[in-house]
Amino acid sequence: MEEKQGSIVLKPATALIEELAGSVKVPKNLRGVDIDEAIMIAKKNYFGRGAK
Amino acid sequence: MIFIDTNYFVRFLLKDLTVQYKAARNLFEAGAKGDKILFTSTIVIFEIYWLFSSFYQKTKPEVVDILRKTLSLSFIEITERKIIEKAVEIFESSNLDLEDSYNIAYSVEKKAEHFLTFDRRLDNFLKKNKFERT
Repeated sequence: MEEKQGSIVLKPATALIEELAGSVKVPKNLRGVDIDEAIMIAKKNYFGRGAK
Repeated sequence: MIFIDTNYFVRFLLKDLTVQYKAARNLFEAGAKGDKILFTSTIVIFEIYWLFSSFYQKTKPEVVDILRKTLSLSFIEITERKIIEKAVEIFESSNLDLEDSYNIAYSVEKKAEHFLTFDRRLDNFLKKNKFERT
């Protein structure tokens, strides 16, 4: 469901899948990395970022 | 019921490894058609947040967009979807991180009378936005 020019537009879930598939772009060198390893690195960096 | 882990969402959104992307997409399509019942957890949504904000260095608006895209897959059951959507809204419009935003959304959903914290930034936000119940 999305809002377009003040109207609510209902989209079939399959159309949404088509729209979202591959919709996030990342630099070439970060494509295809091991996601679980990346999550570990992300958590380490995120929580090690220091005091708020 | 089939549990969807973080890497399925990420491979689907990135489309960077064909085999895993296709596996994720096929599963999502089966879920969308009602052939399979899919669900995930709040922690998975947080892992997506940590991954894109830290490892992939996405900007805050980009991270918000990615979280909203993930949450828009309504055929995937997320018990706390409403709370997480509210948390993303707070995160987007404040200087709080998603964890604090989630705790506020959670406390509102649970109709907490007070939100007690020693975190000054969070406390200021709560006072400014009148999250205290009397």
